Amino acid sequence: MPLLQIAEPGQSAAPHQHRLAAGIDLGTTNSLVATVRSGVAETLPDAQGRHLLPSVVRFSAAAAPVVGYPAQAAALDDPLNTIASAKRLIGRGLAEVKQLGGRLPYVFVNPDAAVPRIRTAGGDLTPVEVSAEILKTLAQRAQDTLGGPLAGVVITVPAYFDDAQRQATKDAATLAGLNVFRLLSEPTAAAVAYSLDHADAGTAEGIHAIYDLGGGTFDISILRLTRGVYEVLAAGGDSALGGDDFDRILAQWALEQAGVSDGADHRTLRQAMQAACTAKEQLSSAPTADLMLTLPDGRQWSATLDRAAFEGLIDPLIDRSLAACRRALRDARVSVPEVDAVVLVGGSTRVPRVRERVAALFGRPPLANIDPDRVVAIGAAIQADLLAGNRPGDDLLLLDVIPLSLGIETMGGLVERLIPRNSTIPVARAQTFTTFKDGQTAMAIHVLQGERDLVDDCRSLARFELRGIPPLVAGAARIQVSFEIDADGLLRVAASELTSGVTARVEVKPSYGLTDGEIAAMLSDSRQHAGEDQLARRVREERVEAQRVLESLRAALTRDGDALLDTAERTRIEDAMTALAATLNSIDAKRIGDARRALEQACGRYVERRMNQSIQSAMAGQRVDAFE
Amino acid sequence: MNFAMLDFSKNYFELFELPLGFTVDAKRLAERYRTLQAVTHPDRYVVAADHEKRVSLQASTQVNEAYRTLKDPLARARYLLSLHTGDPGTDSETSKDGAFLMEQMELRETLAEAQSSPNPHAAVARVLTHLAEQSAALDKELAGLFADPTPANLTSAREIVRKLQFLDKCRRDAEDLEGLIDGRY
Amino acid sequence: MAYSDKVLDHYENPRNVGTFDKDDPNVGTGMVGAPACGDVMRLQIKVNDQGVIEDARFKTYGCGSAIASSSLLTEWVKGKTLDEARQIKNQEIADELALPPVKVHCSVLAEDAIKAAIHDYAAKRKPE
Repeated sequence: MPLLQIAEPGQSAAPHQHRLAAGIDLGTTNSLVATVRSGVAETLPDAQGRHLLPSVVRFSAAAAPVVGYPAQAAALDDPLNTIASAKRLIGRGLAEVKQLGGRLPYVFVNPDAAVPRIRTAGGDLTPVEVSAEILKTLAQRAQDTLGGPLAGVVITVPAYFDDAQRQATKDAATLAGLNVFRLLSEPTAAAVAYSLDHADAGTAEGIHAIYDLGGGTFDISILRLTRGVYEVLAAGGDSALGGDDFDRILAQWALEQAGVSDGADHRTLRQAMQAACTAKEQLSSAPTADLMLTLPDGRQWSATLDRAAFEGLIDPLIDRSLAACRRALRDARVSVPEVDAVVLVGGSTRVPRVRERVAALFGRPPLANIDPDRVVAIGAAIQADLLAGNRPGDDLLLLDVIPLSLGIETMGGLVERLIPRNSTIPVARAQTFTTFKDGQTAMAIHVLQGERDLVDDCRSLARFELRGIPPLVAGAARIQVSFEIDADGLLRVAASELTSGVTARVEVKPSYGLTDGEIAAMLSDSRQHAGEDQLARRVREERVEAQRVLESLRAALTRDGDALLDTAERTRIEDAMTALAATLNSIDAKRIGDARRALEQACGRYVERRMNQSIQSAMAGQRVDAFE
Repeated sequence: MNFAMLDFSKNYFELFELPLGFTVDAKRLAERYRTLQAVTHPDRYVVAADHEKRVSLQASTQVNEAYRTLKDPLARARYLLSLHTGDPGTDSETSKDGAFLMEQMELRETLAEAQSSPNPHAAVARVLTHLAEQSAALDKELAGLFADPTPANLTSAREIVRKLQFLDKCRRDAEDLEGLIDGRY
Repeated sequence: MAYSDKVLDHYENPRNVGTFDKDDPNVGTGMVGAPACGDVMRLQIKVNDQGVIEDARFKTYGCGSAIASSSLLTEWVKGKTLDEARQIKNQEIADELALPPVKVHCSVLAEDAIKAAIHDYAAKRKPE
């Protein structure tokens, strides 16, 4: 309960408890996990000393899923059961994925469903479940290294991920049994790693452009760092542009040259992609690269590609990223000379042509002194450590934005923007609606994300049914719908009828997401597999939480209970504390939880007063600063 | 928005401890914004109880909204009008100021033609410069009017804000167009 | 939410876009703007000697609903007398296009535009 733990300056709060935390970079091609140990943030290797975990999962009927290098090795022989690049699919419909990424070497069941399922020997699986396997593997690695369960994790997502993609990522973490402290934008995470790296040199302050080209996503963020506070001024990008596209365009070229571009089977496609990836990597250091393919009819095909030809193929893709950079600069109202540093993130920035063109756009050589593959995970680990409360005195704060405008459909298939892109989160807006017909008791609202005027050009996020509107004559009901975007960039909607005060029920139908019920079902499945006694676990968790609440509340009451509470309020809180303490030996998790929630309810005003007091004292500090 | 739970009966100027008026010290505003977020932001309450998270979310949202309003001259002017008169009053009624609207129409036509001009970037940039100059002049007038908020001055301020809303829309259209032109190359 | 195909149709294929010479004595010009969203609308009518609107043109810079409202209005006023045209109410436009409450002001703008155009024409014809 940190709000109740806020201490006066110079005074330490309740005895410090170290919480184990990790940062996870869940990438399209590779994933990593990092933690802070003895003050140093490092990525963690597997038993063979490898830090990268290929984001590939192989499913089979009998055994548990295999994640990482062994799965990657099997991709060629078992392409249909080996899922790579699940991040490209997450939070998307199948039609959309096909439109964005071309051919996919998997078999999909029920392709029109909101969440496409991939048919594998291990069952029909959603991209959320595939990602959960990767997260489990990484979390296990962190727990083995740290020697205990993780209190929470920070998972990075592309800055340009929309609500559905963020929600799906969080769902994957829930399935993996992880507590998500925060979803953090990848470029922001990289910026954190760089700011600490450069803090001593005093060069960290100022405006930074983070150019992040990963396997499947591209992000550009413009940030300003001032005394430990990172403000994202603008974020932009393309959530379907990455180094994989370099491979794809190169593979396509090879298949065309080999004369099999139309008739290639799954195996040939995979082979071409791997040959292309190898050639791309060679061309980063060598002037030419050889490509070889075994064609479906058994013929061998080979060709030599020089760097100029390769660059000609990928230039249009780089152009797309640079156009996004210019837009982000415009949105941030920052001109090129005002940018103090350009940072390269993501494995695909190893391609020399990318570096060359980024340098040309910004008129300065970009920084790449932290391994571009690891920098995001390292930043995430630092943020996780901070959020866990393990860095008292560190005033680092990240103020992020939503990358895409949020709007609602008005009749006629047009979009009315409610929250513009690059609004700092958390953010909320309310809009009032009315009824069209006499006695109307329900209303549908369609929420979209995107910058275009037509519904068809934006991403559908969800449809909301408002029910329980009191029946009135047309136009008399005033329904206020509030849209809230939290610090994870996730949307929540609430609605109430203003004239009667009736709270309308909101039913959410995510356009490309799993419902709460589906997640609960998957979760109970996975726990059954894990063979864990769910009830015992829940009781244990509730007890720990209850004790934590009681302890910090006792400390807070001693400190300022007299000043902030009147007798009646204090009695109510103490009664609720006694009631909670009485449940601690119970084996009924719900009973403990209910008592804890009742106590939190009783503390409501106290918590708000403490918040106001914190604001007061912080502003008092400001006034003193202003005179210096 | 309903944040009645918190003691945010304060207006945005009071929250940021800045004098009520159209002229705002941008540096001080930014500093206080960072100070307020340092205390209220949800990142500070990640391991807190649900109810505390809720209070933090509301407070941080409110601080963002206040900052957004005070930072932008147009939003600030609308907010001042609503503080003084209970309603910005700039959205209702149709504008019929023929000369001003004619000029707005011409600006938008220039923008539409810019796309096919030999140097579209320069054509759009000229419109943006013109808009910026016009807005700056109107901002200056507003500063004077809000310094002495008599009913007559507030009525004049309202008319200026209505004009600024047209200029602002044109600016956003011009910026979107810049992006569109950019995407073509 | 039900689609209103009419809005889309008028948005994508606006009718009667263009200008008449505003100095022509038979032409009335209405210039209006919606400060709330920054939309600007110009609506012109060409009136014959019998006081009947022979033709109409518009140019609207604004959202889809504003474009659709003015497009629809130019179709409606053709062949109407000035008195009949003056009777058109924004609600009829909003109903025809099924505009949602947040967009009703677009139909108000169109109604104000035709009134302004008639007023301009009348002012021109007023004997000196």
